[in-house]
Amino acid sequence: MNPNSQPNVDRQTLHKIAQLARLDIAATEEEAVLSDLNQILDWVEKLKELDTEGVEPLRFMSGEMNNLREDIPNNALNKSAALKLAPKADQDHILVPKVLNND
Amino acid sequence: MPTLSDYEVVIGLEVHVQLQTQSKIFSGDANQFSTTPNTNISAITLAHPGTLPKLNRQVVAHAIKIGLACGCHINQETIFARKNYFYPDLPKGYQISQDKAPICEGGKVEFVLKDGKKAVMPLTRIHMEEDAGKSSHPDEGAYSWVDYNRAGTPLVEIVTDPVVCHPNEAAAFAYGYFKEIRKLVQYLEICDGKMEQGSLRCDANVSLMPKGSQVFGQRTEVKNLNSMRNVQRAVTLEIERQFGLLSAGEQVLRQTLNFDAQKNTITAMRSKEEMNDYRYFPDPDLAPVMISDEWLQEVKQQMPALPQQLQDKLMTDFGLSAYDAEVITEEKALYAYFAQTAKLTSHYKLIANWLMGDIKEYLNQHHLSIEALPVKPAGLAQLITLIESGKLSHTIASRELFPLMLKNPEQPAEALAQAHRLVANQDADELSEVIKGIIAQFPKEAKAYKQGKKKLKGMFMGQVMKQTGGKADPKLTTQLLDRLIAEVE
Repeated sequence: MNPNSQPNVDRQTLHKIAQLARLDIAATEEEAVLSDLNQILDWVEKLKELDTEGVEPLRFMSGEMNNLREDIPNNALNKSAALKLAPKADQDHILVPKVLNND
Repeated sequence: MPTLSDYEVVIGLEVHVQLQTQSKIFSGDANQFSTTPNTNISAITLAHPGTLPKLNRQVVAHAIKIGLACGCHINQETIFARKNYFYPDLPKGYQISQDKAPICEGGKVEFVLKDGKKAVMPLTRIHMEEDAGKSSHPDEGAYSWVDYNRAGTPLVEIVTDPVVCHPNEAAAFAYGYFKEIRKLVQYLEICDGKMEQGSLRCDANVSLMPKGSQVFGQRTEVKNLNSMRNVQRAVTLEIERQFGLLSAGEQVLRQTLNFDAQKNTITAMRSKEEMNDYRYFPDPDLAPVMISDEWLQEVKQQMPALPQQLQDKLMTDFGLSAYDAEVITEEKALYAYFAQTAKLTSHYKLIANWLMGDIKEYLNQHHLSIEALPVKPAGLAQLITLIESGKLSHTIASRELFPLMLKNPEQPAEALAQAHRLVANQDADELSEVIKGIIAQFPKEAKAYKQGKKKLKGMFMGQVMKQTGGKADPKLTTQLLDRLIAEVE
């Protein structure tokens, strides 16, 4: 990316991001959300001032490798406990606002 | 008017394979098919705050196995990525998958088409990922139901290169490839191959282009095909649909499609579902995986013989036809049954006939797998030995002894045959008397037979069998009949 580029989220991008996160942004909220998003990006932009010439990208915070577990079942969650934690459930399922599938 | 043959089809397949492990890919809840919703779940699977995924070692070993079986390059340093999309069956809001540096790259799958021709499917990559949960949408009410049993089930996704096919051959090619993948994963014992439970699912990418073109047409993706037959049907249907559009001067749209097996139709998913932008990035919660040379070597040593190798072996070492070899290697357990029986009797073709005839019929009727067959390889070998030694006609073996063996699997075949008086009459004197009686009964026919009317042999054999209740040794009877007929004046 061009280090001098100015981040700017426009309305179209805002609605695309909102759609991907299944959020409804009301017209009255647009300005405030746009301003917040751009502020966040401006702040991140500041990091670009650092000279990272020759520095490998840091993808993982710990230098750990192969943090693996053996294939042994454990720590299962009891069904009723799990359903109780859900915002809405019946005796078997977690319920979510209806997703219109392929109709 | 252009015809379908004026086009070429480009096809690419993505097969999702559920791996057979005790626990899930990133958490300890059981990896088990269950019809009771939300029984195999954990705080990690449900993405409760503060939980962290931890990779199951066995999943890596399974992924290496399929990679080795397909001759892929194994990336010994491999990382996981987040594939971001929003759907209720995906509690984290992203699927942990692989993007850059997947565990396997390249490779190919060789298989045999229905007509016996060999075919090769080149692979792009194989990567590890987690399965999503399942949501259902009842007609009534304002809610969708979500079951997270399947969420976190370890998968490998096998992605092929796009391959150019003749329009009439594309569907059979896809069918043969998917069938071979199912065989492979079962032989490797990394997947149970249970299609009806969704253990293997295929997405098909299809496009059409004018014959000889270098530019691929607009492709579509048909999702979630859950049987070999449905892969074949959906590909056929999609080729026809696209040909219809192109012939009418219309455009093929870039779409994700659903195949309805009941109605045999293809329909587009809602456009909103298609607006995917997965925004992959390396998952910081999971450490990179380093596959040491030792680990790789260890997995290599565990590799079993693969179906194509065994098929060749059945043809060269056991003299079976390509068709027999193909059917017997279809299921690993069936091949194992054959191999065990073949250690006990060398009448290999007969073993194959029994497996593909009476035994298959019994298993199909009772919805059983070969492992559940009451008659074990030792029993089948005894049965075949009885037939081969002339002690039992094939008809009696099939109609009488085999059903008896199924009911009394603990009893030796010969003892059962004796107890039920099924053993062939090999008493030459007794049989001679029977034959003489019949010749006396049918003097005209006997004379005609002697003078060369060979068709009458069947009539005489039939009479002998009728009078002995089917228990005359056919070989001996033939010999005696030939001799006694020759003596007719």
